[in-house]
Amino acid sequence: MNFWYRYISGYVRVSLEGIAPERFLNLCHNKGYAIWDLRYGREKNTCCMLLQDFLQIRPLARKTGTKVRVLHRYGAPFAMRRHRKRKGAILGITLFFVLLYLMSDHIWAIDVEGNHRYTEDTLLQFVASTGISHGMKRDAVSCEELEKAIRNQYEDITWVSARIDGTRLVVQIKENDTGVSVTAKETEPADLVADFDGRVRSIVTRAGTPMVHVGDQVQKGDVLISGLLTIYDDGGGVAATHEVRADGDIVVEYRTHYERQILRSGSRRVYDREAKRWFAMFGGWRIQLLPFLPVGEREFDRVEETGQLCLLDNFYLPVYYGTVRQRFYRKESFFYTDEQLQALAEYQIYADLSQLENLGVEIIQNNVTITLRENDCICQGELVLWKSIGTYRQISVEEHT
Amino acid sequence: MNLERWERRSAEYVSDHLDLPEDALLQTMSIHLIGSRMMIVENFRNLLEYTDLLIRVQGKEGRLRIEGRCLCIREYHQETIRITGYIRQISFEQRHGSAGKDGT
Repeated sequence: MNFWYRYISGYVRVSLEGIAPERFLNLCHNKGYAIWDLRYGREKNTCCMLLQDFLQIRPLARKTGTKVRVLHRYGAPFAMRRHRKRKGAILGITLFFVLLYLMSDHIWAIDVEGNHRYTEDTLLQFVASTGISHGMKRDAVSCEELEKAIRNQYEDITWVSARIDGTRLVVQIKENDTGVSVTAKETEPADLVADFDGRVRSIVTRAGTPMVHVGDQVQKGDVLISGLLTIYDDGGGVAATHEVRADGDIVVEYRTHYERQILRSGSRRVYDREAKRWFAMFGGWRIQLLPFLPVGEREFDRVEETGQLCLLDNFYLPVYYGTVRQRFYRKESFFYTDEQLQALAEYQIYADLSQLENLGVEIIQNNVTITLRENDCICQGELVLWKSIGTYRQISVEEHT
Repeated sequence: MNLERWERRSAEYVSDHLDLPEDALLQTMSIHLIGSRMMIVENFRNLLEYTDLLIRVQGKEGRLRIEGRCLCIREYHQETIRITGYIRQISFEQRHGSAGKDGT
């Protein structure tokens, strides 16, 4: 920092000749002039001082009888004087710093951190809908209001922090990873209701009154375990009614139809040539280092990867750069034999059912059959599945009466 | 007892009893030595002598004498003076000019 201040202000290395250069140095010191790199010489000492101080030392030098001679000149004022004929370069450098200064007052990047369930695009679209966009002034961004808006819009985002780092707006969020069941209101009385149709296979009640039995058919919205706990007296009359938060495990069985078609023949893309080109974008301007390859009759697609120019850690600028890949392909037709088609269908069914199991569904019965036809293959059948169901709803007295 | 002496004694008393740093109260020279290659002196008044073998610095209480070779003043600011080189000996001179006890 010190170096840059000195360089921009300009400084000189001077030689000090006289009977008592120390006296001259002390006078400079008393006046507050900065002196550094003082080196001893047999005939004369040398030191560095700022240009602005050097212009004021004449009376001190005269008073102490010290001859001060400039040995070297350093810094921006001298460099500008030396290159004064190169007006374009000086204008360009000046313009660069002016632009840099002007752009440092705006937001040029918006980042979202800590998101898992919500995609970055979704959150950025919401941020844009609150009126915050790239290029707007930093002062116009109210981080508190943005935090409030995000909290109001997304109930399962439990913590939001928006801050401005340089020219970047960073929105940090924390989602509720533990699911809906653990919330601030989890102790409130509630019914456990069905969120899926099916036949009850098992029910374990931990709190509340069970309303269904094993074998019952339930529809979406039916109360499975009631939050009303009725206490009966010895005579069979209702002694008291307590409201609790219903709790239990209910597994239902349901049937679903599975169907998938796999074509025996078709065409696919085979990529055989690729060209990579660097580009830079500023506003509406786009500069590309090399032109694209001639296309001719060939088919191709383009894949673009973009980054943003960033000075230091957080000084993002509205300059984007990246690569664009031009990938040429030819369409190649394929035809599966019966064996290939059978294997492909089996693999596809396995992948689909694995995906179901990952969602917490247990597959009890699998009646999917593979039928090979002339042009395609049909995989279809009934699946019998077990699934754990139940969601909370406020206790409604009407349903129980 | 003149005013300056009284001020010094009271500052010494406060420094001793309240365990406060003496350089802040008495404005005495504060010396930071980094190995034998660098030295930073604070609370000095002015520079008395400078050669590549000897540097003498005036403080409020006395004078500091730094001997060595290739001595160079890297910074000479309002409050600090930073000396580099091969420092061999540091000593304090009394007010009357005779060399006193060694500082290091």
